Amino acid sequence: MTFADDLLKQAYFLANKERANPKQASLRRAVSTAYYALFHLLIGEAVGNWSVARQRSILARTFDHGKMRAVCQNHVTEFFKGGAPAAGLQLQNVAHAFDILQQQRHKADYDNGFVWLRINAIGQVDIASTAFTDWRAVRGTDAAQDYLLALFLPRTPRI
Amino acid sequence: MIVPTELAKQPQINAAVTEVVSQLSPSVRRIRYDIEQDWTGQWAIFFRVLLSDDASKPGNLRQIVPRIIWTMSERLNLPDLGMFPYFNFRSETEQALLRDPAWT
Repeated sequence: MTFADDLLKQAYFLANKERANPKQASLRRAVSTAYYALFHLLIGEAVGNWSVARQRSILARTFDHGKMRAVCQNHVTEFFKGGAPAAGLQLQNVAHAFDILQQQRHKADYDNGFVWLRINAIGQVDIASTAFTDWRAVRGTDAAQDYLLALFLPRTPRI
Repeated sequence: MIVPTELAKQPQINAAVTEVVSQLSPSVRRIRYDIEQDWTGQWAIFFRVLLSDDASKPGNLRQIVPRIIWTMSERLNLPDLGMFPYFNFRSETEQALLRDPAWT
């Protein structure tokens, strides 16, 4: 089981930790952990393509959350502009999930005025879980590999 | 505060909400929303999705949540809308306890 899988499992554990009256701390950490599960799934896949194993952890630290989100939003927009082709649906779901979860991660970590309830927290973790399933269905495709590269590159090259 | 450009999108959003509730009923009981800035300052739509208690059960929730996101995103025509949607979920039992007017 990968680190990303462990994070996802932990997110579910936290969302269900208290049988009744779940603590805000548990639910907030569940949502935040769900985002980081997807984040680490994607950067793990991206740096896994780097052939020098000892450099992968260094490379992983260069990924920028804001840049990754912008790439994901652009991917979703282009998907719909292109007529929402069925072949691209699962990768679009991954990109959209990343965008959604990053926003919710900020709410969970910084907006103390927002009260999290259990169903909402589990729902956010479910978004991450579904993204895991969708990613693993398409990870070997050219489109998925191009998406990983875009998450990493500082800007889109002109070809 | 809603700026005029985003305000003008409300009929498009309302139509999408009506369609999604109709399509995903009885799992989805109602949907409310606010247009606000996200954490980066971009305008965004924050949906409040009230689910039936049956749809809120663990296995069922995992099924309905992606359908809500996909169906709403498809209906909204995101490139034209110029805003991204975010989703919060609540069960009928949770809402019955809280009686939160924002979710009624």
